[in-house]
Amino acid sequence: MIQAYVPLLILALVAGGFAASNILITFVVGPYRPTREKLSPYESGMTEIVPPRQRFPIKFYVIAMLFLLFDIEAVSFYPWSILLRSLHFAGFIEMLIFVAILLVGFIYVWKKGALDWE
Amino acid sequence: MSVLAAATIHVRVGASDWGAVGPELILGATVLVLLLVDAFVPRRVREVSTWISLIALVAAFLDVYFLWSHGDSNALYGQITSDKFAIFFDGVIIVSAVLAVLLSESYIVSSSFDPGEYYALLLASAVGMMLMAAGNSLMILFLALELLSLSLYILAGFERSSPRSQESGFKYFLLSSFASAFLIYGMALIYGATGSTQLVAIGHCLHGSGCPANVTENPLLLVGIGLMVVGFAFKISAVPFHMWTPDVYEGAPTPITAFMSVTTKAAVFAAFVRVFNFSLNAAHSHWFPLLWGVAVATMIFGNLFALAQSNMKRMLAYSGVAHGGYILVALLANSPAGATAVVFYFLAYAFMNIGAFMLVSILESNGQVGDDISSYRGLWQRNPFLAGCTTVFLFSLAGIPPFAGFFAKYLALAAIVQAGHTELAIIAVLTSLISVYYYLRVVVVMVLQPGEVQAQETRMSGMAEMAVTASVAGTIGLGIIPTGFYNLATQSVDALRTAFGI
Amino acid sequence: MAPYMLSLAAVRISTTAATHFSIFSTRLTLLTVVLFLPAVGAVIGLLLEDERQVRIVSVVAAAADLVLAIMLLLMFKYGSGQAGWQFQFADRHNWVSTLGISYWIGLDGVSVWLVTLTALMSCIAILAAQFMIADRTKTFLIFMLTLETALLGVFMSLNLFLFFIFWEAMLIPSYFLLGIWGEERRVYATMKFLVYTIFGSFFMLVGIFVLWARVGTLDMAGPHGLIAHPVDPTTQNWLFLAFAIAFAIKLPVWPFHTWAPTAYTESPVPFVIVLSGLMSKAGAFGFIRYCLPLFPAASRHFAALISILCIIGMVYAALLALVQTDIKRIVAYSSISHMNLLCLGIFALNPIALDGSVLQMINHSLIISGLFLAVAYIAARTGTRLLPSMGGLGMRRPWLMWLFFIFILAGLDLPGTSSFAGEFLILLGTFAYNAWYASIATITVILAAWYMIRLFQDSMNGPVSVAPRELAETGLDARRTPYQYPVLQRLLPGDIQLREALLWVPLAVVLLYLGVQPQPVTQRLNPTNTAISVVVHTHATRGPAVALGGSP
Repeated sequence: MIQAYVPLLILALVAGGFAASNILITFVVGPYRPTREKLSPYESGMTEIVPPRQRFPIKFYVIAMLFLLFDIEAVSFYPWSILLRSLHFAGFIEMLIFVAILLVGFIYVWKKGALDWE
Repeated sequence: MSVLAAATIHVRVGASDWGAVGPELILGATVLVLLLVDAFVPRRVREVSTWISLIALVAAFLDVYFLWSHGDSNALYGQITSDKFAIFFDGVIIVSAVLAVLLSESYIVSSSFDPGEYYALLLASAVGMMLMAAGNSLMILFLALELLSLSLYILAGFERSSPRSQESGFKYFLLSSFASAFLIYGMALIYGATGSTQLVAIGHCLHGSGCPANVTENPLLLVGIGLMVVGFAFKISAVPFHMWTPDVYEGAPTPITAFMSVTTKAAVFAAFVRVFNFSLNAAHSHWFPLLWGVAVATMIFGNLFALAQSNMKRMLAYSGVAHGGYILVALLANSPAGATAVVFYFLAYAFMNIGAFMLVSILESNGQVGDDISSYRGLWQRNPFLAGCTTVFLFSLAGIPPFAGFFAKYLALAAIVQAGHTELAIIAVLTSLISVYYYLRVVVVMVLQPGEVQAQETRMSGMAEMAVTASVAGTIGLGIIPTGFYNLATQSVDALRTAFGI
Repeated sequence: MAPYMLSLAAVRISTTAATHFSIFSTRLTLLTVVLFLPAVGAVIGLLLEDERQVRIVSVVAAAADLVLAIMLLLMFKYGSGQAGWQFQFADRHNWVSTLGISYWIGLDGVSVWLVTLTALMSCIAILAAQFMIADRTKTFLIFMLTLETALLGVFMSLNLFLFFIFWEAMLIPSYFLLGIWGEERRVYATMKFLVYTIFGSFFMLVGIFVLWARVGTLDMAGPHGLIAHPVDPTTQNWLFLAFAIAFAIKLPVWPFHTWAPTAYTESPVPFVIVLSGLMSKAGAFGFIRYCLPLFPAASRHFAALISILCIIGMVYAALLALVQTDIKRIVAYSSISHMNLLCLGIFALNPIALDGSVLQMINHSLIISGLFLAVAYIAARTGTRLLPSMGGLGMRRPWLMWLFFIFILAGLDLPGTSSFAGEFLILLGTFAYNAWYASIATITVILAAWYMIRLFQDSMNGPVSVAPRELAETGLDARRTPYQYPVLQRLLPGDIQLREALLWVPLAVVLLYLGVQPQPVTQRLNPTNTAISVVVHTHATRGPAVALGGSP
């Protein structure tokens, strides 16, 4: 029973050892010659013009999320369209239901004002 | 059966297939209705969504009642089942949802929530839970888990103005998605090891010569089991994956805490029993030591941490961890009696645990401090009914007869002793002893210590009163006359045995 | 077992009305009525608003239950042709049959006495509560009635699960009775009491699981019952310990007694009557009914150990009683000392000592209740419970003194009081088992005489001491009666009142009557106790040599 787990243990050790040794080797072998330019945030040496951490309006996120949500639906249309013949009328109805559910979500989002930019 | 083969056959999904998920469909359609109500109905008549939710839940319950004798164990190509096991859990989840809705009504008014979204999310998570109990394939289990979790993440953080609620929602989201990743990785490996995502097929494969269930010939299976244990253990907040529980429970709106404390566990345990006790039964010797350790740690640490709490919600969170341990003990029995105990436990747990949270919720609806135990002083004088009922719930949680919690714990421990693991029963009763202390400390404060004379009155809305009465009736009734529901639980497990041929 | 079928034993009340009240859709038997009558009274009390109505309901329920219990006692069949161990008035219904759980109640020669005793002492406690408790009397009486049903259930159950339910159900009303109406340190006493007793009973619960896993039923009697199928000796040893720890804590056997002095001292008087008079008997009864017949080999194996614990306990508690200054604590320690002696009698494992033990259960219950009542009466008149600050009470209050004297005499086992007969039988039986144990046990009789006489002399005789009046005059609290210590209200003047005496008189009468005539008790006890000792000495692992009546 316990012996049976030995291969697993070896695998874990090898995996951990590999990761550890890689870090160790780069640390030991790699040359370390810091210059001011190398240590700056952008190695190309450009100093930033504006502070890099800017606040975005939350609307971007909302729109991005809604885009994802309604874009993903397209993914389910592709296999459905290929199989449409063998799915018969029932398949058509099902897709209508699917779209209807999305429509409810769309109406909700619209009504709540999530699509208004201003 | 390859994917290509599936494409060539005629796919037919009939009315009986949809009938099998009737309760889920009813609640799912209600979610859409609630969203439209929220969008179009003017603000002042929004309480209509409370009634819509209640009516939908009653309708779903009636459908559950119908399905009990007309279930289809192999609907939708064996993806989803409506066998008696799933139906029983559906019932528990719907009852819990009803209690949560009744409790939410005055809470929503006092904290000025948007009722439409709130109930829509509550019902969506209930649908997820019911699907999880009914899922007969790994894919459905995962989808259902995500549906219930996503809804609960939002609900936990629903109190947007409170940083604690924010923390609760965000913490739950981050940690839980991490656990989901473990779970789906485990599921993928099990699929790799057995060649199927169907639970029944996996069971048959492991029982026959198809897929060996020992480590040297099938290491993938064992790694998969380990990862799934991690995922499930997180969702049932078993030690050492319990860290999120107190913070999330404390920050979430109290009716949601009450609801999720019972139903998430119920749904996940339903899947747990289906997957581990039945589908992976042949690999029993591999998952048993793992879960043994988890169960023991859960019982010991859950109870010890609960001792130190002065906040009712945190205390109940740790007590929930400990109860998860007792239910794991029933699961570890790996016998029909153990599975029956799991099923019955949740019925009892729904009434007593949601009941215990009701006090907090009702006090908060009154604009009082609800979760600080020391603020319960003199509750016996302010509101004897509420204090008396909470006493019943706490006694039941402590496992003192003649309440439901005792019989549930009795079944669990009887099953494990019968399975030959008396040591687990001894650990369970010793840790229960610790729990007696912290539950009764609340009763001491509430009943035995007099409060100030000019204390604020504690009022209950009609719905909250109904919820408390129903819970106390359930807690006492299941304790004194458990026979009927015990038999139902037995039947539900028998249905699983037939399905898996064990 | 065939002759003692249900038809013989169950006395049915054959009215059609009774049928509809039964949740098991069968007729109610007399025993079931006795069991649930107090609980029904409690439910009615819960629904009533008016406190006076609740008072009447509680007295009527308790008194009616006492009358029915006495009827049971009179109808109990014993004597010729009734040899062996039978359970009469049996009532059995399936409950959760797949788990071996049934509702099965019945009485043997031991439990019939304890049921009657429970009905009597509960009646007295409820009557005492009428004038001793002024704060939330309604709730108090409801809890007392609930407690009575739980106690009756403990003595009647013939199914281990049912027994456990009632055993634990005793705790819930006790928790509130001690916690709400107790004295200053009540919360501490309550938690200690509860944690101790639950600690014990959880071990018993594990024992029950193991028994069910091994035997497959939880029914006690009958051909398939637990008594007829003892488990193997090694398991017996473990199970014996699991059960014994629960009973030893309840009894309380040294060293599991430490909850008892605190709980006894902090209890309100009506509740302490039940706590020391009946709940401790439940522990002793548990030993007789469960430990001995279910684990015969283990009982023989552990008899010496338990006997030694009991001997240490009885001497220890008696010595502590000698040095207490609080009279309630003296009575509490004397109770512990006597209960340990009683337990010694049980583990002599012979019928004589068993008879003595059960007889002593009855006596001890009567005596200790009388003494606790005396403590309340004295404190209500002096405002103190400390011996050094009282004295000379008997000068002005001759009736109080003489009635108190009866209980003092019974407490020191004077021949002529029934406790003499009980202790004599215990010591006689113990001599047959082990002369050393019996000799040491006799020392406690001397110690008992010492502390009892000290209690009497220092309170009733001697120079009249002045009661601490300033304490008595301060803080008039309408919610407290003079019987609730510390006495805040005006003290009671004069000699004993009629209602106080009326609580004492029945106890004294029964004590004196059983002192001259212990046969009615021992005659009913003896067949059962003989059968139990036969079981203990004959089975190791085989079936019983005695008939076990009261079949399903």
